Amino acid sequence: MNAALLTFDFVLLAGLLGVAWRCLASTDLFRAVVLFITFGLLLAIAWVRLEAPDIALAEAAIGAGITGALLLVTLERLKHIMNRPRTDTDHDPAPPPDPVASDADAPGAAPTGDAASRAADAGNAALSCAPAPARGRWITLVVTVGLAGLLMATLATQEHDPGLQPTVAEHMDVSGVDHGITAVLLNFRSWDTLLELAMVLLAGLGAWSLGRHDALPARPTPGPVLPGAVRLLLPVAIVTGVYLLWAGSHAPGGAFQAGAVLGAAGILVSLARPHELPDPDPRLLRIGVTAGALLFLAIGLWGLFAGPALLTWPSELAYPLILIIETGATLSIALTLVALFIGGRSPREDT
Amino acid sequence: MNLLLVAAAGFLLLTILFGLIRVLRGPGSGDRMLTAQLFGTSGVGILLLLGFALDQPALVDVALVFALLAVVAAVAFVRQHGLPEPAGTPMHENPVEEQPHDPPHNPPEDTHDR
Amino acid sequence: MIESLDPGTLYPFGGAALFALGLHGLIRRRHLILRILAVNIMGSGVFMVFLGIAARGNAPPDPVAQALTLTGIVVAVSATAFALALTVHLARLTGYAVLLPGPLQTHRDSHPDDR
Repeated sequence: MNAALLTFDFVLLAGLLGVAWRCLASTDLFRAVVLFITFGLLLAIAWVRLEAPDIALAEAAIGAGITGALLLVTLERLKHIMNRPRTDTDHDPAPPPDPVASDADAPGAAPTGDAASRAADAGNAALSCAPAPARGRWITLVVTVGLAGLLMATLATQEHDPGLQPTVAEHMDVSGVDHGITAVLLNFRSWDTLLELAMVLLAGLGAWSLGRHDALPARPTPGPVLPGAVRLLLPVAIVTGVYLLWAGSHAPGGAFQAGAVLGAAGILVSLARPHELPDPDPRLLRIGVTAGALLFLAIGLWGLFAGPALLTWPSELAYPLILIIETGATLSIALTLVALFIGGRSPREDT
Repeated sequence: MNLLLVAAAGFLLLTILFGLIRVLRGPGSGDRMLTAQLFGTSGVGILLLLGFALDQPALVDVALVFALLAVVAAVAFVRQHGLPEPAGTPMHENPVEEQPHDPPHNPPEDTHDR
Repeated sequence: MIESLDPGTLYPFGGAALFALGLHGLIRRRHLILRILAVNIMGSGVFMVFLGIAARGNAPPDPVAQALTLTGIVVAVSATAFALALTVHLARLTGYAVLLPGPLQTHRDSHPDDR
């Protein structure tokens, strides 16, 4: 049993390192992205072997649902941008279009056959990347191998320490929940989670600051498969997300995993209907995106004035408060992930 | 019994590693993406086997999420490598990313191969 | 010997190797998508070291390390999505998805050999 598991670990680590190596050495960006999706899958299995089902759940939702779709759509966007024929700018001395919102001014003239074939070449070139030049190969190799050796030497000489596990186990009864990681995230170290929500919000605001979102690149998919699959999977995804949110109080799961699953469901809807992207009222959208962080902060401030201290809650009220905070956080994370996927403000905001 | 489950999980892991050959060489982008999708199926199998072998019932949830969300990357792929967009289709009221430069008779498979 | 090689001992070494591999890719490759992937792989290496150390011994794993890793994964995916949005924006401005030296204006119509 032990030897079998050890063999499994070695094969898994070799696979992880090999996939990462081929991914980073790839000259074809699409191949690199597919290898990265595979890397995420193997990583989730590695987290399982490290007794971290929470992390495996998050990795599954992110790696399978969000990162893959995000990278594929980004590649397609890059291809479209680089396929834009440059001859237009040669005989068009008008000032370059305002980078943020006015790409619509670019002339969309139908290309001649020559330009079309050149554009196709550029499309293929846009998704390839020249291999790294030979210059500096050895010094980089020496530096990184030396760094890896130093890190491994540090890890090999590190003494075993039980860490904070006994402390957490001792205080579980005042945390309000029965799952250690949720207790740490939303009670013992709630500062981290608040700042994490702020970080997600910041990334979403950063993407919005880049301007209006453009159309999702999408080709027609005739036939009943796509709408049928979405119609079947969407309710299951929503139920799974809510289940993970509820399960977080006593088993692996919680706000982030639920938010990632719901965000992936939103991405699925956006991909299924790219021409009619969900276009909610901007004010409602802003409230939704900031709800997690603001709710968390408000309850934390209430803790400062009415409870023990900032961002702490009395143990008898802890469970409902944690549930409220997690619900807000799930909503915000899911909305922000979909907004990051679409990648820009709604056009309605500028009018 | 547990040994059998772990051995089966190890076998599935080996099939993933062999399948990587198709990702690395696979002539078309469709071959690569389909291989990655099949990896997802193997991954679900590995997670379920390990969940029973190591007695971690939470792994069933992980496998559920994997099986549920593997379709998202597939939909993203199909949306970008399916049939080419007919020329002049309005993608948006503000057609930023219109793609009139794609020859409409392009076979969908050769987008990334050189 | 076999008994002493539990996952908590083995996986941190793999994490260190992943970190170094990602750093190598980050230095060597110039395309921004590959660099973003390299940073993600480096982050995965760090998470693996963290979780491996947390899982050492016979006790249940350290929940604080796992919670910190979960936070790290959230931040990593948000930062990745933002970085990809910035890459698309850069490509829209310059036509290239690599970082080029000098001010933006000099690259708008030029065709450098390295991409």
